[in-house]
Amino acid sequence: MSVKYVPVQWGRNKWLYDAVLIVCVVAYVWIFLALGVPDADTTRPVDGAIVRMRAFGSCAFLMLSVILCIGPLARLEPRFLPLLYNRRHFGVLTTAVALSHALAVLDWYYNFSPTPQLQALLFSNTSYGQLVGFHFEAFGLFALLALALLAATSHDFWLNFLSAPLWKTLHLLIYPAYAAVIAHVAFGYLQDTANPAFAMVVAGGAFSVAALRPEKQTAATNGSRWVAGMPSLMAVLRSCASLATSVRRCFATATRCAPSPTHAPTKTDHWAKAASLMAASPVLGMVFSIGPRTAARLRHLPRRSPPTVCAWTVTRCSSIAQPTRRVRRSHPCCLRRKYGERCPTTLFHRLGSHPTWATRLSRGLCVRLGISLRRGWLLSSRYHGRPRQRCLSLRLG
Amino acid sequence: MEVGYAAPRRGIVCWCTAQVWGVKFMTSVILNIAQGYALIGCAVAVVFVLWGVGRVAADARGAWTFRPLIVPGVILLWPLVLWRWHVLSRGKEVGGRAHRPPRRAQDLLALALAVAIPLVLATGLVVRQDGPKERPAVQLSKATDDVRKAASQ
Repeated sequence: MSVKYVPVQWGRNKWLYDAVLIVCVVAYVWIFLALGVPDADTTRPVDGAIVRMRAFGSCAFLMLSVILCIGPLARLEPRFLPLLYNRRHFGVLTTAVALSHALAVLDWYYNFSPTPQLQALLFSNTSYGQLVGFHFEAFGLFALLALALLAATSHDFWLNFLSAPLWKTLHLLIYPAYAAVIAHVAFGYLQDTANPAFAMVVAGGAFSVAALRPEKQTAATNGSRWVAGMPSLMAVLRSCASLATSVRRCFATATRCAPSPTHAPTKTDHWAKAASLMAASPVLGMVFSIGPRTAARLRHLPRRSPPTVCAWTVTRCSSIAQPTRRVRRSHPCCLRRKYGERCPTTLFHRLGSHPTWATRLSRGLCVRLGISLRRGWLLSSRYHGRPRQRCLSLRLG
Repeated sequence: MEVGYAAPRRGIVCWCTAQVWGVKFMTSVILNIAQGYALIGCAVAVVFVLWGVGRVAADARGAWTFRPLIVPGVILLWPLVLWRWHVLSRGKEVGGRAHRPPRRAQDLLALALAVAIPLVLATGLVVRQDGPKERPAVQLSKATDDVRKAASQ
């Protein structure tokens, strides 16, 4: 009745996601070195080793900025949700790149230091009491420690072991870590550079992170509103999102028959939606479990699989971890034991590790598919007072 | 007239040396504390990974491949691990609170970050000593020759 932990819950989408990430990182570093190293010989102030450490550092900064932008962007436009579901691998790779930057700095500036390298890094610059010439490496060290802490606790075990509030509080360290990275760049590289290109990149990334801040969603807004940190950027993104939504609706209307305005959803429609979800479940990588009476009714329905519903579902939720066979068997048991036959259309699926997936699914699946979220609680079968499985209950209609 | 560096006063040299040695002492103390913390973390990690994980997490029983992944986290967070181990083994966990993410704290932190980023960037640019543009180069040798000529005359 339990799911054993595995190191990484690999799936096709995660392989693809990681492959794209690694290719992008390698391409960035390669282009950076190809452009910078030939001109950076040892007679110049910025030689090849410094260019290499700048390549890793700038790559880590950009990756961190993208990571912080993914969450708000996913609220703005659901097409960014696949990036959100696999953000854990993005973060771990960012930590690896940042660690490469730190090791390159230690191996170049403190390689032949008579004192230990870390000690030399910390006391080589003693101007802690002034802004001019401040010891900016301390900011980078703090950010690296915070990133290492977040990467080390990026596993389902830590979410269960620490509980969601504590784990989430711990992972809020990403905000002070990003502020420390900005200070590391502002009091380090930006102090002596004459090239405004990277300064503009830093400012653009930082202001994007600062501006993309969604307001708390309420029942009245039924969507995300945005603080006017950068009104022009918000206006552009909103316009793009609304345009894409309009195009998609027009396309969907042109390719299928529009429902009549007096059409009221019937039970048969609900069964059809359930059937479409069941049909899409192998592609989704997750399994919807239903009670025996529902399964018997679904068997008598004609095979109907609305293409738009299935396509949307596959696009939005393709990265949810596939439960094991034992969990599949356990879900109908939980359903019958807890609810009996009162809720025959209740669908269960196992959630991943992200504590806010329930919210995102309620906003995504339920609104777009016409499914009303009855309760967004996390079902837990007690075992010595601990939750064992995280399930979300959806009810059709 | 000789042009050269002025020798620093003895008091300033002593103060700078004392400051450097103070910072060096502090860093060595910090690093020693960090080493001790990591050593204790290693000991806790051995016990927790081999014996404690299966007792506090039912899903970890019989699962051994993921355990090396949690070792760095245990080393970094061993006081928290010990506390959670104690809470879970005593059954003191409150079920409803365990699934409530701290949304308000996240909003406040995001707001603080939105305020801090422009401030930090602006401060970094303000304290730049050479400004956004490089100053034009000044030929110091010629000026020195003029000074010497003026002194000789």
